[in-house]
Amino acid sequence: MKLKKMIALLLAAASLTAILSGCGGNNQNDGKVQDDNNTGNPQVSGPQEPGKSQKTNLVVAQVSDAITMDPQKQGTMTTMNILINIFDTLVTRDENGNLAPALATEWKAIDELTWQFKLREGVKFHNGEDFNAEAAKFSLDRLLDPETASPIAELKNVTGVEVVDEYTINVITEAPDPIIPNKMVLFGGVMVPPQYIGEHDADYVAKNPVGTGPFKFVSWQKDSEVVMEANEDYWRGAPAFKDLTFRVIPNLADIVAALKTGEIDFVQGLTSDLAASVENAPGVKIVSSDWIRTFFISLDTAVEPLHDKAVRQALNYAVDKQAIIDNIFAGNAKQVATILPRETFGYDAAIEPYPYDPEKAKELLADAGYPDGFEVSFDGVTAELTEVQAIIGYLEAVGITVNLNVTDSSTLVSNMAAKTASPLYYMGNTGWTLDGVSNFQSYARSDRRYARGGNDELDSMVDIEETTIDPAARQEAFTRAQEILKEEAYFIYLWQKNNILAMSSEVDFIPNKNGVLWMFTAAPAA
Amino acid sequence: MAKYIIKRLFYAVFVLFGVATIVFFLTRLTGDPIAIMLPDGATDEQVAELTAALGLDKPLLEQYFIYLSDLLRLNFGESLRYRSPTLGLILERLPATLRLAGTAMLFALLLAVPCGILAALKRGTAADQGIMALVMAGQAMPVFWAGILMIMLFAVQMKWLPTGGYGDGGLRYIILPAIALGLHLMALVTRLLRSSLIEVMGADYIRTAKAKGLRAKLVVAKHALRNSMLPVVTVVGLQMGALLGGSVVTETVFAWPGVGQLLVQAITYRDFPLVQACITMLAAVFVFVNLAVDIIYVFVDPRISYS
Repeated sequence: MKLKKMIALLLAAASLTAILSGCGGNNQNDGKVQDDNNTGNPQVSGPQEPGKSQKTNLVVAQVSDAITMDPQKQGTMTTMNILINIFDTLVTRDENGNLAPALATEWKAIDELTWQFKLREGVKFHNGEDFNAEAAKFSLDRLLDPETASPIAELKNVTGVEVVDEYTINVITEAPDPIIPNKMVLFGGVMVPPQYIGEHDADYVAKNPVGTGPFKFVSWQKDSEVVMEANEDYWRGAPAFKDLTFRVIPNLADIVAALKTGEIDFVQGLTSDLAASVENAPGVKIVSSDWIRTFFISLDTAVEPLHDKAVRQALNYAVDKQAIIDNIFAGNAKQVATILPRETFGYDAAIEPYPYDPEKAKELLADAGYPDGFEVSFDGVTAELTEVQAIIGYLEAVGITVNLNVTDSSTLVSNMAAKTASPLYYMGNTGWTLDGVSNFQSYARSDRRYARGGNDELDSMVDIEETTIDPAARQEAFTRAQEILKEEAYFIYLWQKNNILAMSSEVDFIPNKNGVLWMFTAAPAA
Repeated sequence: MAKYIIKRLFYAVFVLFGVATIVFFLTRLTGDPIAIMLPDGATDEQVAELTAALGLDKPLLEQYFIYLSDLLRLNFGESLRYRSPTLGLILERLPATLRLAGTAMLFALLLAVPCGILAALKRGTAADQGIMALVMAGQAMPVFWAGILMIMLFAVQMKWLPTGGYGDGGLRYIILPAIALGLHLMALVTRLLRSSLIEVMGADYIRTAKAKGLRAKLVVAKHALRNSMLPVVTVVGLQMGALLGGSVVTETVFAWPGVGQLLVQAITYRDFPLVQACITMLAAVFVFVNLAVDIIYVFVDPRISYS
């Protein structure tokens, strides 16, 4: 009996030792990175070296990890933020948000169904493979191959890719697609190495990315961090930082804490109140950058009394957008007249937002037969509750009784798709192509997924902007569509929010307008 | 003994079947993964295509039977979001979770046993009251709250420890999450040991031991403690499951790359197969830990036998 007890005790002790010593070394690479952090961060605000920061490593925090390192088998923002540093796309955007050359140097529509791209010469993948028309064709073919099962949906209209010469390809579409170049900015246009992918199995490729981008892959500890090093031979020149790490911290409040301690250098997408909490922390700066996500309240025009245009207009007059922007977002947002942001192709500045006019709202409601208002339910998500409650306050001020239904964003999106969301819900939408086509895609044409209103004229305007190559004709359709959207008030149109960034005062960086964290443009603060 | 174990394993299969079934239907009540996975601009054809590709267009019962027959062959399915086998995703992260739960347990016991003994022996004194006050606080504070407070104090203010993450896997990364996770268990065990020891100390055989002139230390160590440990072993065993459950929250607060974080994300993205696999795995661990505890009883308490 004694012996048995001894054995049990020994076993327990042994298992505890194993636990404490870390259950096997599955993270050999991380030691080095952490050392870099430790030597890098205490230098913050070193007074002996005024002027340019000596910082060489950059740590970016995100709330979730990449789902794979294969750029064509993902469609999530956090994954793209990481992989855009390892891979290049055919087209990119400059600091003003205009289309700019990347691996393609120029492009034009040679007929209704063909876009021709000239490719950059002398570019090599990190493994030494050449980038050329064959590689570009391989990349696009692989994306479209059903076997790849790519969640990247932008290029579904493409039927084939032809190699014209070593540095020219033609992209053929099924129907005219005016914004193929815009789509090549995103991961539809990501370029992958054919030989490398041919030589390794899918699982290996999904863990060991090889691209042409400014940083080379070093290691990936899942749900913890992705480590990269500078590609000194990058075709634009070597990036300013030698080491780049993306760390996963699921909770924004913890990200802010890690920023204060210097464990991380950069985060985007902060809320105004979190930003205010680090505003005065030493070594941290807040930057508010224009962004393209627009917010609105969808109105279900099939239910009473929202079927009445006057009622919908009344709701638009009822909300004091500017007061909410000033007081809740601390000025980090701008009013919009419809669902298009200013930066997007198709936006027409001549169409102005509904002014705040509660008297007019009450009048319209009374004329429509609702002098005492009505009762309606409203879905809002927990993360946006402050602004939702402010909006409800304004609606109630004109006599509407609102029943708030608080949910999480996944549930709301599910309900939207299933058409079971409340008559009112608050939602944001980002058109990544920076072309109005993306903003209108699911919300404007009356037969689309999230549309709950619309008319024949609006549908035909959407058809024109979706299938016409001529920019002038498209702009005309967009302008008319915005006029209809405003007049018919299918939504309560609200604002486009800024992207609030918090970063170490040793770093200078403004994200690309399309929102991806391309850290090539980040540099030590001057 | 062997017969008993076989019987328990047989029951375990039923428990896991029940868990798998409940999880399957519950997840499907929570929403639609396709709407969450695809970008706002996806067309209806793309929605239909992806739904079919993931097998979510089939009738619910058909999906259920496919799931069950896969499960029987130990195929836990493929994650919708990661598009790779769920088992691999979980196994990659299981060591981090076990390490966190193990360290939390160790922390809890290392602190609870001396505290419990001290409080029992010095019953009613300032030491006892001080310990009990701490214990009450530990038990009353939810993991996430204690975790955030510790991050604020030890990482942000004092800068002694990192705010979170796995880092190089070093000890300084696990200290705060392990304490946060183990706090509740520590409090529970301290109180249990204290009351159990107080009870035993009043028992006749302790009086006898004292009466025969045995030194006080020896009475406690040899006679009282061993007997008062029995309820503690039971509770510690049962609390293993609670530790795994608590790790879901702790891992999210401390950015610890374990199964808990995986599960939280799987729920957020309505990744049905991954939620099912994570929960079934955690349930399996729970069931087998309980079995192990029952077997360990035999060694701890000679009065118990299963033959």
